Amino acid sequence: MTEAAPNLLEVRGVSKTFTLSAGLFRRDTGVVRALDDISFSVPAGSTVGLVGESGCGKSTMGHVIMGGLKADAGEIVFTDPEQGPVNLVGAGKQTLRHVRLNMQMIFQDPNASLNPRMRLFDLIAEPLVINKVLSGKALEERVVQLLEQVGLSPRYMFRHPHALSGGQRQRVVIARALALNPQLVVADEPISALDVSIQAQTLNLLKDLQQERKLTYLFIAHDLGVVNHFTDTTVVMYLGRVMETGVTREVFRQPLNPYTEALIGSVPRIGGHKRGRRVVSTGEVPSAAKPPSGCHFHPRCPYAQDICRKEVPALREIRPGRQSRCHFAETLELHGMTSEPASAPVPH
Amino acid sequence: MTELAAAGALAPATADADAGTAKVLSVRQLAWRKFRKNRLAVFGLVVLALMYLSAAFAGFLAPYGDRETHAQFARVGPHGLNLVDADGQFHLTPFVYGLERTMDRKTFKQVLTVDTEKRYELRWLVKGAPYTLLGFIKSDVHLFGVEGDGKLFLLGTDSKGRDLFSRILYGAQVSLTVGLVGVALSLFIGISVGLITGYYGGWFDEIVQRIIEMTLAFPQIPLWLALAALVPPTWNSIQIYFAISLVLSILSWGALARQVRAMVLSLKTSDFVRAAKYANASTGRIMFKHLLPGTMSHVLVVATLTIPAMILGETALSFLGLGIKPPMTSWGLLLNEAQSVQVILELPWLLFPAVFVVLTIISFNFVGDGLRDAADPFSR
Amino acid sequence: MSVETTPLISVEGLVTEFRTEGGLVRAVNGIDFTIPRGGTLAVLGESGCGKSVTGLSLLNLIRPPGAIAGGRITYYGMEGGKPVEITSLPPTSEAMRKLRGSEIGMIFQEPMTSFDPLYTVGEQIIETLMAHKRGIGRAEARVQAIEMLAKVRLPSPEILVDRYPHQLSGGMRQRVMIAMALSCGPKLLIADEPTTALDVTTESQILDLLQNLQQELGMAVMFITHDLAVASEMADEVVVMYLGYVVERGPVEDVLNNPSHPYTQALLESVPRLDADSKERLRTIEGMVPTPDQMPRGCPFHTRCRHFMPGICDTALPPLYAAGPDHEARCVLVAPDFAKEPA
Repeated sequence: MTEAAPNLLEVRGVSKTFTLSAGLFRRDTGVVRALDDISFSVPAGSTVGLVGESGCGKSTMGHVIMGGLKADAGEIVFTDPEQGPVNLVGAGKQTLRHVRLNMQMIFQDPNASLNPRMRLFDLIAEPLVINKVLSGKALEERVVQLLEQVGLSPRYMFRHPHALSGGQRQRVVIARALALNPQLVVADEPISALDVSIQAQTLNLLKDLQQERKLTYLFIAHDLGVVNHFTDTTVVMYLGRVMETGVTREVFRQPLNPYTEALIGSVPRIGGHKRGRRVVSTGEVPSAAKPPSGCHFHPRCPYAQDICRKEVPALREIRPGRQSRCHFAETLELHGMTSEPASAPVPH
Repeated sequence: MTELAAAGALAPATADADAGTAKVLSVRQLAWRKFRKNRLAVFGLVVLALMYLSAAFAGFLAPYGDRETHAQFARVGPHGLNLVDADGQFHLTPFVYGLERTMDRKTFKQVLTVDTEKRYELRWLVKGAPYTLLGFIKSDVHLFGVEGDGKLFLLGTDSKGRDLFSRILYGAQVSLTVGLVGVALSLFIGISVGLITGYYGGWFDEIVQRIIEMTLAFPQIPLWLALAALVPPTWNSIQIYFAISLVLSILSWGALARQVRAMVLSLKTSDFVRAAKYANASTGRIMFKHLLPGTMSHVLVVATLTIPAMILGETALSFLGLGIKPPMTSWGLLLNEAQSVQVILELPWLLFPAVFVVLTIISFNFVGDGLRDAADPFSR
Repeated sequence: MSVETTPLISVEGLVTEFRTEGGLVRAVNGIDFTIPRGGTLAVLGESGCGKSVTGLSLLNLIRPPGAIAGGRITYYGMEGGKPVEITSLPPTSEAMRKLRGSEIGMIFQEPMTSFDPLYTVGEQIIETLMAHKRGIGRAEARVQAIEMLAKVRLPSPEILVDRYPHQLSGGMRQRVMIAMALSCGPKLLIADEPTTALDVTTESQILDLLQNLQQELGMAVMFITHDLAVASEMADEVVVMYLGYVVERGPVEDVLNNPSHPYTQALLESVPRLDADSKERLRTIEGMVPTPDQMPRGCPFHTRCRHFMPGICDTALPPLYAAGPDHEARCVLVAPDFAKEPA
């Protein structure tokens, strides 16, 4: 599945730095390297997960891909069906506008991503109206179709967002993202703000839509369970750097990076009742403005050596399809997630 | 704490797509509900409505004309309606007593006497001095008055014998509107500047902010005085009216611009603005369809609270003789007569316009408070 | 389990109501549970189920427009063993204020809003200590504050004690909140979603810390959460709530391995797991949580239940039936005389 499909999106060596400034004359007081040499690919029709904790840069990556933020270095190559490969970094306004017809975003907080003063009809129709795709009767039909596709009754069309529940609002966000028939959907924590039982419904909806419309997802999340369920391949990020990539199941069963191991070990598990917790990492996620030298994870890594403090490890392919940014990726034997039969509920 | 909120707020959500008939209010309806809850705000709104209506129909409501003088009856105190006559008899129709000015032979002073023998009944829809309503309706019918030689001076007369009550009604036309014109100007400048500086930021924003800070640091009244004094005295009433509006709005656009800018700054990074950007929305569309509506509620509140300052400003300027000039009337101009202590002692009724000024300002403040509550109908 | 030994706190038929624009809303609808000394109880449910309100009711922190409308909360942990009926004490009474902090502590989800941004964290711990421990001086309180900060494994506590809340990271603030809650040595800690806002590696550390502190101090913990995995790891017993009712209760392994109430079952099936192998569709719970003005008749869950039986489930509220030793579920399917049909 990974080799045959062409890459819809390829991120190569992307970096983004924010400068912090303060004071009357805007002195530069610091630099945050939100993205540091990020590379990964998104094959057409697949779901790639972008996983990490706060400050890792995953949301920033999403916005850089969408063009809301400008990358300082690197390339982002989107293979447009008509125009062929297009580098989004440094692309002109026209190119960007054209590419956006094929690439849309689902935001995390449905309360914040829907203008509370607009009616649902206008919200979903907006991309179509702005890009002059449809109007009049055809527009209305299309909006009805989109609403039905996400499981909402068209009766809601002329209501405002506050009339709906959180889960329903998120469906509107999804409908809006699909309005232009994009090929790539960047989903930035699409279910984090929803209730547990609604999360499952929304995930199922996203999966169905993917099959129906042949969508490609870039799924940005922090919940490993969700990522495990939903994605084909995973990119693990930490403080702006890619730490590991690979097929999702493999990454979680046999991680090749101590940070991934720490993440997996930290996740609470059903059935893990009062077992000795393996707290593999100490300390906290450092501030992105003052990252540690060398490998960012070294102060918290149980396997850290001198070299880890001095040299930044390169992102290398350890096995076919598996990359890791660690000096000792080949030699370390790391613990991953294992299935425990006792934790599966007895079927009724 | 979400549970407290969920239990308490009762968000008007429906159970699911097929639940149907739960009543959902639009944003505007929610806002109006919130406003109605504030009793003082509603009171203020009613008072203001009455005032503006009265000003609009001043000609009809005032017993006398704007410049109508009663030379014999200058400096007369309030001479109003009675229900019970000197004999203790109750009359259904209110009436006024006769008024006479005679010269006392001995002291050679003018003496005012109330003649309880003569009674003039209140009449409705009397004919009086001609006037023009709303600019095009000509009439000479007044809502109420007395006929013949009867004089109805509800709030007394001034030094030229003009009925104060009538003049207050006419004065309302200027006092209540000059603030509006000024605020409209401020709104226009303030919103434009706020939108642009908030959205683009950069060095332009910095410069404009410093300018605004300077305008806000300026002492308002002295600046108004200075600017008003610059207005050429040869200009006619109408020109002066607009000049004064301009003067008043020169300092107040700054606060509005800052308010708008602050809202734009916070809304600019909202996800819904980003969503519009990712849908290829133009900057204009983002500004006017997404950012501006979000600021309108706050802008409205600031505007409503700026109007009283303008009314006061005009009143102050006219009071000092630097504002509206005759033949236009304003409350401030009416107060101009009450400048010396002697006048106040002898003719205290000339201070009545001040009561109306205060009432107007309080009402605007109440309404502004109510609007502030209604501006965010989802807050608790 | 606790027939002989008295529990630390017992809740009987608790009803908590709120007066809203739409009428009287019952956030908690008659729930019972006990917490043994040193034990851990998880109160599990989604938003709107009443779990947070339950925690606040235990501390008698419900203020108008809300009020505890019925039931009894009895605390047995006072020195000398005299039981205190919390529900009979006025919320602002001296007795209640004495209870809070020294006997029962609470930590919340968002540490930032629990702190006063104008005072150092040390000051806030010192204030708590001086309010509850009689006769303690400022200097002594400061020493104890630093000790507490060290106990929650904060680095350089003697420096941290003079920091302001905004200068600390989320995980550190949460630790400070735990330090504050434990500073007076309460016997019961109510933790309301304490790790929901934290990164997973930090969450793991905080959970570990809570477990260790619990063992060290012999403290009981009531863990309010929506996360089944956290409940599984931390608790001995779990109480599953839905729309203000207890729908299932029992030892945590029993409930999560043998869920007997359709809601618990559905919840377990709908959570994507890290240790799951298949990528099949998640089984979801149909529909949505009813709004407070649309409380279902009979069983609160019947509007969304896979096994809904008209005429039975929508007429009367089922009582809690036994589903195993100490394991109960509020569902007629669990009733002993219910003929089980093949699945």
